[in-house]
Amino acid sequence: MGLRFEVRRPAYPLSWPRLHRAGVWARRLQRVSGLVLVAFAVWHVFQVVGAAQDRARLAAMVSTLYHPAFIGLVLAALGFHTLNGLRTVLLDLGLLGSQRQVGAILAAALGTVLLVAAALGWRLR
Amino acid sequence: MTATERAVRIARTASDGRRYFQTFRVPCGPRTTVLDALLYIHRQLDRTLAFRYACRQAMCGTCGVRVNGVERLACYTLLGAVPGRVVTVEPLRHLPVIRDLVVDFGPFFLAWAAVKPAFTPADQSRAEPAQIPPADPDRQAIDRHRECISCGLCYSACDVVGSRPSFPGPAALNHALCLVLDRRDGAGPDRLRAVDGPDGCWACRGLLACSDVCPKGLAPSGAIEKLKRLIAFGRRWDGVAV
Repeated sequence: MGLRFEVRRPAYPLSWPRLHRAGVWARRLQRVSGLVLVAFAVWHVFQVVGAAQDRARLAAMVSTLYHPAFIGLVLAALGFHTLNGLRTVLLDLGLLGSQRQVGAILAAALGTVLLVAAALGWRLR
Repeated sequence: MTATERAVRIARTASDGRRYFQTFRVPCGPRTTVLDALLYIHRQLDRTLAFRYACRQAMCGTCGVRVNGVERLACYTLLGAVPGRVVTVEPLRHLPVIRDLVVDFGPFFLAWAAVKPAFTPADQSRAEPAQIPPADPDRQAIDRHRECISCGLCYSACDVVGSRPSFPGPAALNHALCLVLDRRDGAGPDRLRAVDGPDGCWACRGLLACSDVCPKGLAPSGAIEKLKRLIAFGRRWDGVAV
């Protein structure tokens, strides 16, 4: 019986690794985006309660909500938190292999950029 | 400095234990590795430089260091490929530094003890070693996680190890999964209980840094996720008999 050798793709290239610690940065962005969303939710609740008694505050809140920078910030946080959260759920369930995680993180980032670009395109048209 | 030289900045240890950096100029050819640079410094410039190496071909895992903040095997990292003006070489994180680039692997191997790393035959009465054919799905599931060379790069790269020293680390948990998936081993349930808990596999935050730096292309983060699924959902979830 002959020996069988397993041929694997070179797992450890001599070249310098790209996108090193992508998962660490994804985790950090997940936390930051989560904090942004919590801050937005708290702000929004206080604004709505205040606007119920004061129409001027309602107008100010709507003005802030439609500001392009505000739309960009909230949707960037919402988009990345959702897509990256979905990635981690798929990872936990074993439905997305750990070897594909860097691609999945990039896809989450790209999806966020597209979401923000589409929203800003709609707002500034 | 000539075009074929590179500045190599190395973490050193003074006799009083103080840490400092020392920069050397090292000739850099197209195939010069970081280990070659360390050997050049040791032989030509400073005989007191302390570092470890053995096989020079990414097999033994002895020469693990941090190169510009990235855990690498010095023997398998081209000096010319390292970005930046200066190549900074530091010892691995989360392990006590003995001197210069030499660290004490004691905590790393003590962490293995927490996952019951010894093979425990399920059938003690067998005269011959039990075999799992290479084509067997159980064997193929193990194949994705074996070949760890215990280099400690993943242990150093893992931020959870730094913040929670009782966490066994990616290599130990990867080894635990190999044994859990091995149907010849009789200690699978005990081992799963050993890695269950807030200081076990559940401490992993899925940062993937361990998989980034593994010189054998293993995915310890995937192994840890699989351990979590085996604990949470049982043996049928991944189609693997435990």
